[in-house]
Amino acid sequence: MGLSFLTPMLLGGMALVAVPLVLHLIMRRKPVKREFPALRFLRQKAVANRRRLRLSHLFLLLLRMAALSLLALALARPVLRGAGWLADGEGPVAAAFVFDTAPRMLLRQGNRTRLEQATAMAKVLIQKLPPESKLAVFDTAGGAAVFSPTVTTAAARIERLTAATPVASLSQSLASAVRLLEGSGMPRREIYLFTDCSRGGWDNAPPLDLAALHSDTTLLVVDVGATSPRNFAIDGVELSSDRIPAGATLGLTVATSRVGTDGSRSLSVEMVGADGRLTGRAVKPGAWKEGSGGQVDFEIAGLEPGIRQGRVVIDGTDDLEADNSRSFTVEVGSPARVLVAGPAPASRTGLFVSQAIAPVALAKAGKAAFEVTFIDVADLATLAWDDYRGIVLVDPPPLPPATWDLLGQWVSAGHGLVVWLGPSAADAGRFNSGASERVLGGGIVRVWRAAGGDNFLAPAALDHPMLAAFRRVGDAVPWQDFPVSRHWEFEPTPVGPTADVADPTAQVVAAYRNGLPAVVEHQFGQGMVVTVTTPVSQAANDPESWNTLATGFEPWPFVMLANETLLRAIDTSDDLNIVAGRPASLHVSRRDVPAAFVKPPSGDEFPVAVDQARGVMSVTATQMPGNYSVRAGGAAGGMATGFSANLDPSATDFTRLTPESLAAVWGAGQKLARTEDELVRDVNLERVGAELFGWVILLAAAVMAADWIVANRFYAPREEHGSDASPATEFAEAAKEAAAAGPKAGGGTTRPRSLRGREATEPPPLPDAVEQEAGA
Amino acid sequence: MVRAVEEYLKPEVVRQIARLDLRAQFIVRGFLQGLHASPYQGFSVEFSEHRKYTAGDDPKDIDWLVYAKTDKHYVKKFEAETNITGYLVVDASASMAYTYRQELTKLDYSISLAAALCWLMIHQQDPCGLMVFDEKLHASLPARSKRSQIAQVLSVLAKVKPSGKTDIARSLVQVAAMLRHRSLVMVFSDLLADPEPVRDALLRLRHRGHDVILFHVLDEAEVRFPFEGMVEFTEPESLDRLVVDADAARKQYVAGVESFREDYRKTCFHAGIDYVPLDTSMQFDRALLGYLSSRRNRF
Repeated sequence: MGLSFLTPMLLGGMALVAVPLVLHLIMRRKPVKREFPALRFLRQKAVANRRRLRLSHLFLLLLRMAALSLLALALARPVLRGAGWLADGEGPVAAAFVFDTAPRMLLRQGNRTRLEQATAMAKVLIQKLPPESKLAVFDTAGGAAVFSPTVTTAAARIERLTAATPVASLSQSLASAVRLLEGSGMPRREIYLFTDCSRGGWDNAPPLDLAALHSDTTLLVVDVGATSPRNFAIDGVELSSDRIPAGATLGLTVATSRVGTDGSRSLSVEMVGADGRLTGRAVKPGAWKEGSGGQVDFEIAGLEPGIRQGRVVIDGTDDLEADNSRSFTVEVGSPARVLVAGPAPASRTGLFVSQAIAPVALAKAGKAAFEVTFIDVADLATLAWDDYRGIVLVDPPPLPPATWDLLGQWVSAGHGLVVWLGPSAADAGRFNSGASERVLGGGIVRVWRAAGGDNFLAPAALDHPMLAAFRRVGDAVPWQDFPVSRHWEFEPTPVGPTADVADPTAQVVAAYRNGLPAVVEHQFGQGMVVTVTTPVSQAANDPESWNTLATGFEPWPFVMLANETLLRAIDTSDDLNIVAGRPASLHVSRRDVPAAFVKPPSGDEFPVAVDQARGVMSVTATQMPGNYSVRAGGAAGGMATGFSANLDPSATDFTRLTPESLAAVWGAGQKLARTEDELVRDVNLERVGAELFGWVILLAAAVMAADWIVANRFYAPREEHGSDASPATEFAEAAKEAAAAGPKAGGGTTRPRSLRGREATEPPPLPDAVEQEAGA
Repeated sequence: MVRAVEEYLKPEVVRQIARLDLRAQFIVRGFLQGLHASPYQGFSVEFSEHRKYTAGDDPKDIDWLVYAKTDKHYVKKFEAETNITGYLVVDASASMAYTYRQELTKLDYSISLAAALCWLMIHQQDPCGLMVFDEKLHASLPARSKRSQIAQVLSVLAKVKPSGKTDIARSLVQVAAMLRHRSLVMVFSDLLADPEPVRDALLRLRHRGHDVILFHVLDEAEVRFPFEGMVEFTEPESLDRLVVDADAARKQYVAGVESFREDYRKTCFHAGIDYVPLDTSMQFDRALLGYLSSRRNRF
């Protein structure tokens, strides 16, 4: 905020404040002279009076000087501006309009989406732009940070703005705008931020460093947020698994929420059929709870093998459509082929693992997620592994480095390897080799023993995706019932300055109660290696058994762990369900196709190159939420896959932030314009300024009035108003009034009131003796 | 009737009567008529008459002879039983010539009052004398009760011109020295001097057996201090000057005057002196009542 003057020359009039000073000193009015005999009673307080008199004189002098100063100030026409001291209020400006174009801006209120409201406000602003101004348009969907050639083209761009998955945050867009304006070379810079002030837009946003803005850059926040939205929302859909075997049931957990309405809506699950059309598969009433989220579970059975896509949708319409549906992709199909290799006979040593990942009953029914092939570990290198998605090494003995190298190549191509270390490793020195440590991300050190069953698996947190399945059970997993008496100590390769960034070290996923690693994962190339440091190859009656994970009572934690480790090792290759805007990496089973065609939800297919060497493709154009299908190699013999992109929850979170939270973002005192009137007012205040003439002249008048009152109080010889009527006339009139009031009871004398309003002086009270005499 | 009585007693009305003798008569008649219509009836003055008995009158005052003749109840009047020698002592210093917005100056007011009292006393066959002072005694008339004394007293009073400083104490001491017989000394002054010597002089008067009525006459402006704004005051006797903010000084001034009067009232009360504080806006009846009550107390 700054103060400027339209006629600053007239400020020189302030020199006139010397006039009252001079007048005060040399032409001080003399006091009224009066003769007064009883001066003795005044002298007693004369000193205090004189001091008070001096103060009064000084006060009067100051009042007069202030009055003249204010008059001069008023004539100079002071103007209060939002920024700068530029006298020319209509000079060109460099302006940047920053729009929040996240899908939540499609929230409808008053028959207008928030984005439409923002563009309407922007049009008002464009009309207020001074001639020859420069204008740049920014939105959170990205775009070049340049000034539009003309204001008209900028207006056209604003007209074409659509909601899209955010690429940049509002803070980032704002920073780009600041940088652009700084390079504009224009003296006055203005940023207009169009936002719904929502939690989605600003929560967790770093505070804007407005102090870093150039002193001539002003920020005006245009608040287009809805005040009373009515909305049903799907906050997220969680699949029981991205891949299910044919015939298995797909579990969907749908998180829901509701705002501003007490109605109820049903949820539907729709699957994409062979013809590409959506078919309803299940309908359930939603669990709508105001303020807190609800949850609805679906079970979808009978899915055909292959990539299956669908969506969960809220029936009916509401203020925001973008959060009414969520898409998902699941791979249904023939079980993934897995090689289980262990000491001979592998069918015995790998029995527990194979039964955990592919129980006989399910395998016979064709519903098992995995198809297991046993192989003695000694014969491992003799087999072609390309047909298998993963290998489970059960209690592997020391392997030749050549075998580890082969395994490394195979894993880095996007396959999965799970290693259950056991007694066969025998000796750390023999087991460890440079090749093995590269693949595993570390090496074994020694065997740890724990007697008394006080050591068991004890995951500290269940945040890791591998442990996601355990989250549903929570703390109820009875790990303590499955003691681990022995396990290998695994030491991840330390990260040194020469470590390969692309080949990071192993990460501990879960630990034992003694704090040593139990489950370790290692991203190796495109693949994943998961190492468990205790075996499940020993029989229940083996006295040398290292643990009872697989042989304890109802070992369901082991079954889950075996499945999750294998799924983790295998699943990392394909992104079937991603957040919109992030790249999707997909495996292409056909290495001979150079490109695949991606069909986004909008239907406009586009080609994406395939990395034939690695057999993967990466789709980056995933801004649009919905189901994407990918095909390659033609209709016959080709491959077909797909993935789903869903909006990040913040993209549809339109919950308004509290004023305190907003103040934390852009500082207290930041102007917010909600209506067009406020917008015009604030812009005028910034550019033209508010003229203060009226206020200053009012103040000057008040000071002059005060001066008049004080001066009169000091100097004016205000005499008593004498009456022209003679005392006799006054008396007659007063007596007439008294007579009209009636004689008093008892014949007492009625004393007339003086015409001056004073009570006639009463006689003094009689002495007691006189009163007694009168009574007598 | 009421109107006439009140009118007589108002200084501004009295001012219109130029002749001092008439003025005195005017005041006294008005006062006495007022008394007859007032609850103060019963003072012993020379007018005697009968009045119809009314409820509240003391039955012992009923004149039973009249009742025997007329069969109606009449109340008896009282008559003076003895005479009292009175001296009117009037301050004629320059400060007494002051008035701010009243019809009468303090001296005019005092003279009117003195004349009325003289008239009243002579008509009661009380000898009445006069003394006028400023720094010292200027004129004096010995007390006589002849009717011609009224003319002499009024003649002196009419010629009094205010001038010079005042020395009340000295003058009162002179008065005390001059009076041989026990007398009623009625002092008219604004008392604007150091109070201590004045008190001593008053006590001396009293000590010599004189009855004293002290009429403390101030101008209405001296009591109420009605000035506003910046005023430069000049003291008429000493010609001292003082500039004051009248509005600011008013409260303290009025308190000072009240305190001054209160001190005199206490001194006089203890000494058995009648202290009658007056200002020139007040009616004369107050002063006359003071005289009458004092006269009564002598017997």
